Amino acid sequence: MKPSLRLLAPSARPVNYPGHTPLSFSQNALLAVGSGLMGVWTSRGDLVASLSESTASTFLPSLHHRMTLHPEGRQILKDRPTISSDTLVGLRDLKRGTLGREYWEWLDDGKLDPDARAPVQYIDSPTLAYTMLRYRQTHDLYHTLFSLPPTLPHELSLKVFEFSNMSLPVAALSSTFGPFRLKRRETWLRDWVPWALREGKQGKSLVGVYWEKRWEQGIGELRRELGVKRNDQEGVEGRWGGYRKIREEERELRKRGEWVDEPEEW
Amino acid sequence: MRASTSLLTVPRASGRTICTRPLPLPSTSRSSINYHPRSLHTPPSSLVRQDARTSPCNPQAILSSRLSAGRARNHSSSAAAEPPKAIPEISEENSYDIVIIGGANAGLAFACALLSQPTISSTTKILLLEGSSLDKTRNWSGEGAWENRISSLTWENISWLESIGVWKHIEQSRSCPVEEMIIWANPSPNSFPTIHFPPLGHPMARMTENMNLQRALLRRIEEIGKGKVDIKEGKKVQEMRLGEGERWVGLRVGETEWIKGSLVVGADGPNSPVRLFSKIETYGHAYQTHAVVATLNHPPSSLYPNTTAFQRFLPTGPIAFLPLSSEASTMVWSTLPPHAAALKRLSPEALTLMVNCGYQLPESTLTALTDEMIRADQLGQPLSANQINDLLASLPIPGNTVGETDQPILPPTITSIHAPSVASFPLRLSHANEYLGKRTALVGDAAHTIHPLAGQGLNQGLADVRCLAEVLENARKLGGDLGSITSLADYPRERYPLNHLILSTTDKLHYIFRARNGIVNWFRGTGLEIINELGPLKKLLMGGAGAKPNITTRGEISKSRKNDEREFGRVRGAGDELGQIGGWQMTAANGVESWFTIKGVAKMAGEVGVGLVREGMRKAVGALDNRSKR
Repeated sequence: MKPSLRLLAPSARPVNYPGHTPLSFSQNALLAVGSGLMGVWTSRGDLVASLSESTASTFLPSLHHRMTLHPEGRQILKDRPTISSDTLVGLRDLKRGTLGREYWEWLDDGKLDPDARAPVQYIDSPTLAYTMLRYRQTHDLYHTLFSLPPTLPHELSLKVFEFSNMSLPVAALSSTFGPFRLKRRETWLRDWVPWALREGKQGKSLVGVYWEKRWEQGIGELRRELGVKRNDQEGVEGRWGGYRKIREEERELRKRGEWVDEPEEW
Repeated sequence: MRASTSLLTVPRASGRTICTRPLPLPSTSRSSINYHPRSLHTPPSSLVRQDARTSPCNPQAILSSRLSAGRARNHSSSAAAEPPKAIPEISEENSYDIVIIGGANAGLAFACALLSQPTISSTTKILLLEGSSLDKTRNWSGEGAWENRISSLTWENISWLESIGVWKHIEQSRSCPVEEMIIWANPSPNSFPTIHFPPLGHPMARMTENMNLQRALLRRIEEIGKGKVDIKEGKKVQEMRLGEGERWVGLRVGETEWIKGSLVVGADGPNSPVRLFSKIETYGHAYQTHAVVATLNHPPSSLYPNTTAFQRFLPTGPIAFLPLSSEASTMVWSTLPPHAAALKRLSPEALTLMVNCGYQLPESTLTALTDEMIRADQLGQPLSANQINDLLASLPIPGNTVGETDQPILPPTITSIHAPSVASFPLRLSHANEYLGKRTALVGDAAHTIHPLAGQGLNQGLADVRCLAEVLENARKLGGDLGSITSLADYPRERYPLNHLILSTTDKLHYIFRARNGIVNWFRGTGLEIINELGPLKKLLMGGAGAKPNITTRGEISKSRKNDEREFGRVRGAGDELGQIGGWQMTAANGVESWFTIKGVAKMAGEVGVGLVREGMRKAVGALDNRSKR
């Protein structure tokens, strides 16, 4: 092969898992910079994904370590469960108020598909690649846990939460630069950032939660177990429509007696 | 200052020479000083005069002694002074490493603090000297009428007392938690600047009778102090003298009985004889204020338990309402001396009415009523309850346009006052120039006295005592000489600036709240509103007054928490306050919130400033117009 083309050909590095694309250091660096700039500018999901993968070596080991600290996290690493549309089968039949049913409802409301998440490509170690995959797939479950719709301000609040909970740099980056695209920046800053920071610090580390075993658990009980609370500050529901809609739906269902869980605050 | 030694030495038969230096004791005309550590009624101003008159340790004498440091000089004021009798041989059993003079709050707490330090308590002989008997403290029953000397103990001090094993001896039913605090003034009919410290979930302080605390301390000493702390009651110290080479202090407690102490700690009250002996002067001033205390009875509130402390600032001084139980509370009304005397001379029913007026009446009406009270008192016929009622009906009460909702919450209406509990004491700000003298140290009221408006006096004393005990422990571990300046130097280094800060802050607050001129009124009103809005600042203020639980103590009061291993299935309980968790996330969250509050406040202040400027301009233009028209 001609020397100039050799740089463009895939390298002859070992492939560790299906879908793995090994990169050299400079390729990795270029990917990081490029997807960083473009990903923040135009929020293309796959670019943000590649950004986090290319910068993964900075945080994945500690995230992995945090998973290994708890027996549940270790079980996850052993079993390696993944969330795909197959796991959704059967969740629809659970009662409202359980984690599984609420997750299904949330995906249905937002017309989202758990398969649509980009696969992990650029991380070399299979274990760390699984950790990254797990992190991506459970992102939607955080939305469910905190009753947040999949809109930009709430994505950003969750990014802040993840940053606070797991110290992820991509979360830091997008939570720093993302808000510049928000229309109601100051309101968002005031309503959501302190809450996200506090909950992230006080709650248990969410990567180590075995969601698949908890489909029947009530969401309120799960929140209590994890030591987190939803955003109950004054006026927040009034100012954020999507959030309000989800919470009001819950109240309606409680009134009708269909919600399985007890209210968190009496 | 190194005093010059006298050339007069008295060789003793045993061959040891004792260099005696005629000590400039304040009254050399009589050879004894009467020590009354518990006396509250000696007006400090008279004591000051006595010092200046008879004491040769006045500034001129000290100055001249410095100038003539090389020459031997007899400092005593009387012309023909003989050197005092030499100190006789003091037996081993009367020799102590630490002698604590004063068996009230500070002295007993210091003994307990020393007993809690491992090295000191196992290697040191400690003596506690108290001039009167401690039986009243020992036998205090914990039932019956409330004492009228009640102090608030901050959370930090309570955690410390618990950690040294004293708190378990406290009669818990007589210690009332303070969960909420409301502070307000009413300088004009429409303005009620208020600071409201809302309940945090844990008490900010506990109101505890001094007797309760002292009995608990004494019980602790008797529990673990056998053989370590000797208590000698009923022994007044007649004379104090520095011993040979200034390495110990001799204390004469009888006609001929002497005690030797390597370090003497003065915990003997605001007119401390130990301070006098060490020739430490104080700075400060007497507030033209006497504080009247009384136990108030009132019906229990139907909705909330009585755990709220109130304080209203009147132009004559603050009146405080401190809860004791659901039906009793204590009052501290700091006011001008003639007012205080008049209040004490009122009948209990009349005093009840006056106290209710003090909390509830608008300021102008209250001032008029008080003037009437003084006038009647000067005529020798203090007002009766009926006369007060008549006056209230006749005096004008300014209507306010503010409406009910903006008025602050008021303390419950008093139904009666326990007559024997009414007492008063003068208030004075004083701070000793130094805390350490030759082989002496000062703690508690001997070192500093403060205005009671912030409830900090006893708490400062306990903090002093804790610090000094730790300093002595460190010195002992290194084998140091307990009474030397080098061993003790860390104590004032740590405590002096803190005490000075609290003293001066309280003093400034007292001035700010007393003033009634327009400028200070405006600043105070706005300032109070600002402080009330700044949540983080309030938390900081409360933390500074010791209201935050100490996260490093072990025990039931607070749980320590490790960061990494957060328990599986941990439920956030009622005691998990946000204030307990550290970390950059919390700081960032607090920072974001305060940023917005500060922005809001700055905007408000800016608007006010602009409004003022505009007003000023308008007035100036108006004045110019008038002048040009004339």
